[in-house]
Amino acid sequence: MSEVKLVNIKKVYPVIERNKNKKNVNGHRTGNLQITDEGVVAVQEFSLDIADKEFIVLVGPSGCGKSTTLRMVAGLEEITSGELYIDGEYMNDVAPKDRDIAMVFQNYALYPHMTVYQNMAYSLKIQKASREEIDRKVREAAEILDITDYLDRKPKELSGGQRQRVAIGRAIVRHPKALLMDEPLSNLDAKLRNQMRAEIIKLRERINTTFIYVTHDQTEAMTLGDRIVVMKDGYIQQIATPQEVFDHPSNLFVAGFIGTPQMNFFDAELKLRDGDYWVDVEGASVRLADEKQERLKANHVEEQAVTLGVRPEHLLLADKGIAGKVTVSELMGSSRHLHLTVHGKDVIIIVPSTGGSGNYIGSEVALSFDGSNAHVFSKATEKNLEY
Amino acid sequence: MAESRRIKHRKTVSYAKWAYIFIIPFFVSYILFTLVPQLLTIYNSFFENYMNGLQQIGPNFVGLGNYKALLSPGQSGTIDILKYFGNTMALWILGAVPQFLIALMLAVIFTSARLNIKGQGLAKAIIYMPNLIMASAFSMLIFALFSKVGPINKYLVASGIIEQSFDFLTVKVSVRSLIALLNFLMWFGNTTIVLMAGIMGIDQSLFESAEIDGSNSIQVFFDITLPLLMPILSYALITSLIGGIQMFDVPQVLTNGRGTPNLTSTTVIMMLNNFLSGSKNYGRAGAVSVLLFIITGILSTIVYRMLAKQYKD
Repeated sequence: MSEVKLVNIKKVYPVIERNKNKKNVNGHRTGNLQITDEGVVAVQEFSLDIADKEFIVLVGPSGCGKSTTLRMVAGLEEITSGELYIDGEYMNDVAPKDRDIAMVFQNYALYPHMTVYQNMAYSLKIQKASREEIDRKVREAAEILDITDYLDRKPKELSGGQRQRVAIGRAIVRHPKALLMDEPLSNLDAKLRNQMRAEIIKLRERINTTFIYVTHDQTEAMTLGDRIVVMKDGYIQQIATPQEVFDHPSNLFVAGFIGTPQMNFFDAELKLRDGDYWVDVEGASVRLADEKQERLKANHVEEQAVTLGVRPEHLLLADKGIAGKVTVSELMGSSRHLHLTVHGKDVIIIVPSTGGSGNYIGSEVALSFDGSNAHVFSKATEKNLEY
Repeated sequence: MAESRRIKHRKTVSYAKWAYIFIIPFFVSYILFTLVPQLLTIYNSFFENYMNGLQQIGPNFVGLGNYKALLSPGQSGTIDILKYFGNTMALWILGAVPQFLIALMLAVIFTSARLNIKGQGLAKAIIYMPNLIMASAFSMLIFALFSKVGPINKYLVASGIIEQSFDFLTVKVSVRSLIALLNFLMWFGNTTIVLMAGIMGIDQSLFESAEIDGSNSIQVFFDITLPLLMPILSYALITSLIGGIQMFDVPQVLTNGRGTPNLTSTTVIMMLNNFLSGSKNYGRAGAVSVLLFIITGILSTIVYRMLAKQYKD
């Protein structure tokens, strides 16, 4: 059993006095982060229950606090306030070495003066495991990761992908309570990244431990996580399964961050007609799907100006609807991405590439969408009105 | 067309020539003031060339005569150069061991992200300060402090620790200890700064990784910091060794050039200086320099092979 529980975690980096006096004013923001009396707030109000053997992915843009949160779980950063429990034990003041966790670093952090075998055996040696046990466990992990042939090599003699495997091997050799991964694939090229992503999914089946995985890549988040935690500016934006986050983003940020190409946004009006919710956008009027009707009614949402979000794959070419002009056409193989200008705004739609001549550029088109694929966000709070 | 005809077309553009032009002054001064004197030293070491009173002897070619004379037992039955080399090494080791131990400890403390020591800038400036003072001036200070009528003796007598003044500069242990202390004080700050730079060059995530792997701070030091610091540590050790072999000003000033007591603090360079200042024996001094050069090369290679090479990744 290895549950990880974070309760109202906060991380504040004290501001050095001389910098504080220069320009930072209490309560103001520099860049994305909030500056208070205490200092720069990197993470706040972070509460999360991670179940045993769950694969949790923390995802968000640079500086959102995801790595800081992971490092707090690892014990590499002090927790300013809040509580951290691993297997029900209070861990705030416990040293990293006593937390029984393992971590894979972004830059692999392999000991350059040790061979692959020594790197993998190091933690077991520290635990004073017997030579036979060390050898058995190292070879077992090497077998899983297919690095047995490299055991006598030094890290500098390995490729990026091989180093990544060694870093994972070093982490799993101990059978830790939780395996933390800090952007482990970001130093790999696109092809290798896809390959390693699949390897991690397979690995997860074999080693059966709790994973906490940090990435800025939403594809990794969507494909790896049982649940994903979307973060921005130190706050959690949404915790849900990948499908839930994709289908029902909690706010404008999540809607824009998850999904490639990103969701299109329009200025629209939410209207009530005969007791049903409709969105009026750029001359088109679409009735929202029944499921959305129920949610909006349950929240007693009133008529208002909204931001309408529709994913590129859900916008369809039609005879009438939102009028736009195609400016760019990108062939992606099985599909084609069309960039349109709709009343001065850029909009992307995805159309099948087969059957079309591809000569879209400059053509005037009309767009429509289904009411089940429309997301309405408050202009004031940017929250999804369905929540 | 006329414009285009004026443009010179080159096959390649060489930027390297500017680099060569910029480094010419270094090579010219190196050849004039270092290489030529070095070659002349080697040349002179094969000649008999000294003053006997007012009479100039030589230069006469004697082959390896100067070397043979240096490596033959003297009137006392000992080979002087070996004795002085022993003195030199003893003085260096006495100062270098604490110098490196303290410098390593301070470098680890100052660079620890977990300790996050405040006021590091001031501390670094203070420990580096003695290195800025001229060695001879520092030696004079210690000479004055520890002389028979100096403040240390006065204090020790006044506080009843000793009954009468103790002549620190006539006892082998105390003279060597004072020379080692001086060298230690002068150089531990410099070594600390060099080692700090070395530690800061190590990827921080390696320390974090070791911590997560279960190491305590002592294990992190011996398993991660020390092996990865070896290239810098061996550099510091070799430069310290070279400096140690060339030790001159501190024992020269402290013992007034006499290497007291009983020549136990006379170093090889002091011996070389004696050859030059008295009889202007260029041949013998040249031979000492050449032997010193060979020994320095051998010792540096040994240290490098022992430390840096095995950790070279």
